[in-house]
Amino acid sequence: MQGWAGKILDIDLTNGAVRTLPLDMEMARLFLGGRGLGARLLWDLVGPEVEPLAPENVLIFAVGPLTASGAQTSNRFSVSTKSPLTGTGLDANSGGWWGMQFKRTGHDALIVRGKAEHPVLIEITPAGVQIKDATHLWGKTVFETTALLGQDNQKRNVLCIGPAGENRSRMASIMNDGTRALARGGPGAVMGSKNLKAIVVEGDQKNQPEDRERFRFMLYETGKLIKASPITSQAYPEFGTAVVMNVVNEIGALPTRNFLQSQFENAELISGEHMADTILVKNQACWACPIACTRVTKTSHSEGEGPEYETAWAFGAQLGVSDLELIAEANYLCNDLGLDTISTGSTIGCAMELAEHGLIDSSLRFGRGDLLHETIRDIAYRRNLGDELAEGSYRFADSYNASEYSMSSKKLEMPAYDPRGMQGQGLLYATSNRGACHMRGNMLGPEVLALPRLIDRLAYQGKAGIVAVHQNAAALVDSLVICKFTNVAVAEEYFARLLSAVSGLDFTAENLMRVGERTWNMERLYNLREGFTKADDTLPDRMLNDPVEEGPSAGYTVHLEPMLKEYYAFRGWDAQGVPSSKIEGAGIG
Amino acid sequence: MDPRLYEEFRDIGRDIYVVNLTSSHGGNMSVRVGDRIIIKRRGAQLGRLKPSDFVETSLFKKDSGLIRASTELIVHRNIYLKTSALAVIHSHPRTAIVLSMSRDEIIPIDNEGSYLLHKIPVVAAEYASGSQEMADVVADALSEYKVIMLRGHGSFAVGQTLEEAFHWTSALEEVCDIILEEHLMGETLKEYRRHSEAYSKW
Amino acid sequence: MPQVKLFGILRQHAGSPQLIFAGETVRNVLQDLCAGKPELCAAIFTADQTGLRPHIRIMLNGRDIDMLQGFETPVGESDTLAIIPPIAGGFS
Repeated sequence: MQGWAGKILDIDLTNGAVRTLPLDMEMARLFLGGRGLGARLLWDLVGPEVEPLAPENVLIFAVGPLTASGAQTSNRFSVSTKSPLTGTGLDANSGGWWGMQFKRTGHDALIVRGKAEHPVLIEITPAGVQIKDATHLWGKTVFETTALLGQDNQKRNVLCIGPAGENRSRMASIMNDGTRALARGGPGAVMGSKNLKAIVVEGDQKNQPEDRERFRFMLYETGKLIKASPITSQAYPEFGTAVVMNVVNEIGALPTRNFLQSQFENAELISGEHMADTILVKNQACWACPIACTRVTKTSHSEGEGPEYETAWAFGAQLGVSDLELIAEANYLCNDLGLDTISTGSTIGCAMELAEHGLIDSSLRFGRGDLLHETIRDIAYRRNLGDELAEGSYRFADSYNASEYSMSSKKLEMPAYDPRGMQGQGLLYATSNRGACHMRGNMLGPEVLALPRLIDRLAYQGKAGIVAVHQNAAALVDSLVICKFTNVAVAEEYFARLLSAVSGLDFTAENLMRVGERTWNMERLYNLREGFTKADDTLPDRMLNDPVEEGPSAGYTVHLEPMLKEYYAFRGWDAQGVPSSKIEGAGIG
Repeated sequence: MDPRLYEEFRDIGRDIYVVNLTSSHGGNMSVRVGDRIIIKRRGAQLGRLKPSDFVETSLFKKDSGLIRASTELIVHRNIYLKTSALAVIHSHPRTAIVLSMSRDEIIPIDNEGSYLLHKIPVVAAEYASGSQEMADVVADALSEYKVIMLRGHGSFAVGQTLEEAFHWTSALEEVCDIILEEHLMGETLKEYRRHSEAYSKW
Repeated sequence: MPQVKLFGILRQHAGSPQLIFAGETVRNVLQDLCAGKPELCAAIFTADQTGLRPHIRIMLNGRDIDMLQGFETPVGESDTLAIIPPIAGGFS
């Protein structure tokens, strides 16, 4: 293979049909792989009449032309589907080893359709593709399933759902290699609705670069940059992503107690620094990654991976909880049960607020960390209040006519940055295709860390261009598929040359930015076809109308309307946010 | 115009003039805001920009802003349409200009230049001032590189901010001055970089 | 006296997450810092002391000083400075 394997595996679980289809190389050139390819295929395969949890929905697991090439962080992959949480097009992205191994089976993507009559697993090895009975695994947790199916990081990799996916929680994740997650938007529920428990891969093919010398040179250059950047060579390995906890708190943008406040008095206790002083055992890397940001941690009762910044926030500041061990254990639990930590934490926080107002009958209150683990289990097993919480914060709060307490956009819960203190982030959340998300172009860089240069986080004019460019860049990275942390140190021109060296084709940095833009527009059109409109490019009322009360961002709300106007203009969309020009190669418009 | 944006234009314009990256009235700078461009007006001094020295004009269609905008508006517009640039700086770095007249590409010999720029391509246009031909060759080159030379004329650099575009411009002239000094001194160089032969293929 | 909070790896250089220094402007406070903690100083400023090391951010009460008056920003008795080393979380 040079870049692309040229093959898509297509499996229909309803009738057991296994086919290999050729990859349309023109589509590959325009969308590359991963998220881009997934978005393009989803347009063809899943129309507005399809319910997310119905057999007609599909799961598209996709890797990219750089996957398994040996380029730094070339281990990642994505899954695309229609989200049961948001109803938008969805892609979720994960690391570890599974993506690398899937590529080594000689495929660019796997499409899973239909629904099996009883629980099954898919096994892809050099001997062939098999759909096997998995009834004995149904009900088992992620860690149990992963071990039972013979997980061996370098050779045999397990992707599976846990009880949350089986019980179709709308916040259920798909886990791979035990602790890596395809989480936001609830793809685990789709997998559960298909009675698909796991996908196991073993491969023996290599992604050999076409121009080996050029590839080696590029690897040297990108390696140099990653080593030279103190962020990728010191901050991430040493403190992990939770190192930003104190910084975001310092500027008054750390959402606390369901976004009621923007600073958490105990931020220090859930920070990366505190983690390094207490529960951290060591750091760890995914395949082919020199950055090694994973936290291997140990508490008095248990051990595992994480928590990341978002999780430390979701079970920490969001709930008014400061016990890091409790939070870490909540993380291990979510991994084992297969739940998205961000949505789960945010939803529990929403429930806490409703309980405090007496709108629901529950002992949940801000600060009740003692109820956390049990609530998480209840969500995964759909017991008690957990059955309602499993629907996600929006549907949950809406059932009590209190949807304004759901801190979400397009029903996806907002992550750990209060947009009132970071205006550009507000625009990002509101316009993000899969719902409020920071991974679609985190404005933390320009608005706080001066990467590449500092812009005023409280100003709302002139944000649109930077947000849009960051969104395009993130979409590109998700289509290559590599890790966004590489992008902290390495610019798109390097990716272009890496890709050229691997594939033998000529790519420029701008070609790649166009891939990002094209993917973004593709996702936008998909949502418009689903019935989403400009009215959905919005934020909770609290963000638009309740000014922050205290701290460095006091007095601010999100000035969304002027930013949105500038944004639509920048993207060349009309005043209703509809892309007006054709999307190349999309076969539509 | 946002006062912060004006300050950035003014300060960078001054820096560019003071270090001789352009003559008094030469060069130009612009930024993209939404679907509009803010560009230095024709005839303004880069080193002494006043708030009234800027023109705002539409990116996607022609409007009256054309009348007062810099002659090279067409190039800036083309760059914004064809690349993800949010800021463009055009200057006349002297050493770079001389080198552009004898080379098709400028390859840094110093460490910082190699690390940051790797290579600076030289493009040419027959009518190298405000022509569509020039706009096309410049924008095409900038889809692959952050700073390029237009033979005999000057540099074009892009960035997400003016500061970034200024960085590439300044780095370019540093690279060229070092090449010039090396040439004048005529000493035998020791290669100290790994893979340096690959920079020309960047 | 103004508090100076330190994050990430700077804490190791300082031996503490938070210190107190004197000064009426950001520049003065940093000078006091350098006088008292040379190892921390070296982690914040370049070798020739002409500027901050790349990616170091300084905040006054949660606002980046680049958005205020830079090193000349006045610092009050009960103000808090935060010095942030190169870090990122999520995606930049």
